Amino acid sequence: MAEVNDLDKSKAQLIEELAALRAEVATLRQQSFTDSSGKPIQPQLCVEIPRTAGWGGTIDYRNGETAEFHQLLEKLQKCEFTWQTVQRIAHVGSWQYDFLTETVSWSDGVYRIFESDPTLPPSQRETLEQYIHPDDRERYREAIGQVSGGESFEIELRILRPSGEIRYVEVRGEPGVFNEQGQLIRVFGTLLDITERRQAELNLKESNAKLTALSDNIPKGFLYRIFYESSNGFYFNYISAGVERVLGITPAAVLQDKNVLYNLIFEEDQQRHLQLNENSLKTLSPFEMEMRIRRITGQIRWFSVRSSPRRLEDGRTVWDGVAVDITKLKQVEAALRHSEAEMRAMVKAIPDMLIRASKDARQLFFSPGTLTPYIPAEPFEEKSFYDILPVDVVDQRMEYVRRAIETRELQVFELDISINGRIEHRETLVAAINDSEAIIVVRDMTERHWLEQAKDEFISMVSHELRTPLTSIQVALSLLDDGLVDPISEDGRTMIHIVTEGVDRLVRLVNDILDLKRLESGKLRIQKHACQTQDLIDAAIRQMQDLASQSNITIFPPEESYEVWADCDRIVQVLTNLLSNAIRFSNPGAMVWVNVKEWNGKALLFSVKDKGRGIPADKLGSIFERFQQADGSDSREKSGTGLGLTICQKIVQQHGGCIWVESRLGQGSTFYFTLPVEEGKDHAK
Amino acid sequence: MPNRRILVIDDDPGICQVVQIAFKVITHWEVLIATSSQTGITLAEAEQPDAILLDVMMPKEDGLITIEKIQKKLTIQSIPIILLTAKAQAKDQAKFAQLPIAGVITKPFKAATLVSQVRDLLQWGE
Repeated sequence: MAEVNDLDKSKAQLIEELAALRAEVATLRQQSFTDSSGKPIQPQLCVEIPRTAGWGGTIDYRNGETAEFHQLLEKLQKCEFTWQTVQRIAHVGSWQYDFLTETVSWSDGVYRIFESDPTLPPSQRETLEQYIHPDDRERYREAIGQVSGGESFEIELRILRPSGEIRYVEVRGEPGVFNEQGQLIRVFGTLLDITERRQAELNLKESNAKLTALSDNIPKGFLYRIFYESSNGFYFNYISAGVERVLGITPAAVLQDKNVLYNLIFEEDQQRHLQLNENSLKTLSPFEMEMRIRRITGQIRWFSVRSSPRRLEDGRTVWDGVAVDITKLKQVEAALRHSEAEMRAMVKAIPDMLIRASKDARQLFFSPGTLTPYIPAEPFEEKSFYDILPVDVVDQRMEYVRRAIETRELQVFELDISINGRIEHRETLVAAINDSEAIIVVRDMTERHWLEQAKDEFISMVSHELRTPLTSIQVALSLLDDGLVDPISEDGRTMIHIVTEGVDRLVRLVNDILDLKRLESGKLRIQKHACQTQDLIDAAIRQMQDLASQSNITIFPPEESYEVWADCDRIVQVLTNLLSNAIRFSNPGAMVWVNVKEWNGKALLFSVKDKGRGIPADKLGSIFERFQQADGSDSREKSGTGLGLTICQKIVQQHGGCIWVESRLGQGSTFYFTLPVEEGKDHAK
Repeated sequence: MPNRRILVIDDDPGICQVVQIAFKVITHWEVLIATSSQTGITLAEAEQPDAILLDVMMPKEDGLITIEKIQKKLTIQSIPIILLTAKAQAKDQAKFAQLPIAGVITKPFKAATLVSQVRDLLQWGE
């Protein structure tokens, strides 16, 4: 029945309408009706107005139905319906207090709010008070007192539902109907359930309190809100209590004057601060800056300050931000940088190659040290090993990495790797750092490895060279000793001869080895004196004379003689060695020439020439190495120790000279060596 | 009693001489000598000795190469070979163990020891 636009009417309007209706009814009640003859008639129709209309009771009309009455009733009912709907929708209820009957009556809405049984009459007086929160009862009574005195009231109080639930309500009351004497006989009022609204308010309050608690308790930091308007510039609207803790200034002071805070910003950072502020204002982009701020005590601290701006409808710009003390962080960063720099310097000084490897074959850190990397890489450039090393090298390495991580024991292995065409021998150590990483240290062992191999070879050779003459000595002597051969027999004499030769050979070998060792270790010091080359050559020829005579070989010395500054005995040794070779590799009856002449004005050139067997071209390069025999033939009749030329080379080198050979197979050899002539010494003939 | 003939191949002529005399005096075996692999093989083919005493370390072609060559020649591949060597290290012994030879004798040795070892290895008990 009610129309949509009726619902728009405010409850105030509706109350007015109802009041007007009631007034009309009251007027009607006082009207007298006459019938057609003019005789007064009493309305006889009693209309029971339902209690839900807000009042109960009957209206007694003495006369019969009248059209006016029906209209009125209809109007009333319409209004009533509207009013009910409004109440239902708006969680509002209306009530009435009748002073005459001293009763209160409720609309459906009130029952709904109270959640009490609508079939029962409303609670009265004291029972009603039961439903009001004890703390609010006093105010309720006051309000009633107020309206009884003819004044409207509006209060908020809490009511208790039968379930025990507390609801917040807004109660309004106003004086409604007065009698002819002007006494208040009826009070009208409304009841509005505002629990949701109140709850929302409480939540907001709670939320604010939370925020304040949080912001005030940010460790080493504070929250803030800054406004900018063209008339006032920048000003703080809010700053949390933390600012006092971290800087020693109070929020109140900052709110009053932003410079209390701004002046504490470190001088060097102020410019940038202003610039970033302007920028943020212009572009509405977030403000972010690490800056130094002085505490009120003077101590400088680092802060990370961040805020995001919004433009408000009124043209102001607002930033909500947070500032956090990051001094500790900065200190740690600086310490880390410092320690990293130290580490880099240390690592650079370490000659070994250092690698930090992950379990999945990734190189995390690399320092080559003095070694040449297979493929160069930057220190912190992460790479997969498979991209920078041959597959088999990586596989081998990763095997040891895994072993190191599993067993937590140091792993050591050696490998050969070809670097730029040269085979290098490297020792690798692997130690686990944690469950997924290991550190690898690589050392170049090429020289040591080569030296060890050379040493092994040398020992092997020497051992063979010693055992060979010892064999013939032992066999021969054992035959003589066991009496199996008579010393004075032909066989016996052969045996003795073989022993003698064998012993000689051993003696030469032992001497040569000792010489060589002393020359190499530097224990044999060259002691230079003035020598005449004539004397040196003569001494060497004298020593070799017997050997030469045995094969009818003639040695031709030079005619010239020069003075040279050298270790005479050692040079004689060199000449003796060269002569010995020349004799041994010449055929019987051959000739050997010894010569010496000036060379480039700074040295003397010695030469020993033979026309013997010669040396094959492929052996020329290695002939000065140890135990190199240049035997072109199968026979080994004139075997030397194999160390002679090596010793010659060492002696000549120690004098500062060079030694070399020119030879043709089948045509003979010429050995040359130079000895520098000291400056200032002239050579006399 | 068949007279044994042994071929000794060693680049050191001193050793060849003393070994020859040792066998002559102790066992009366005939000893042929050669101072290189080449001469030795030629002599073996020509003379068909009953055994070969072969030096390991010789210049040009050493004992091991000589063994390979002998193995390839039908007429001499079944002649038992005993190596004479100054190398006594374990890794060398292991290498020799793989070869098709009768045995290894290490230098130096006394005359009588040499003879008895040869007898044992070839099982020529007399």
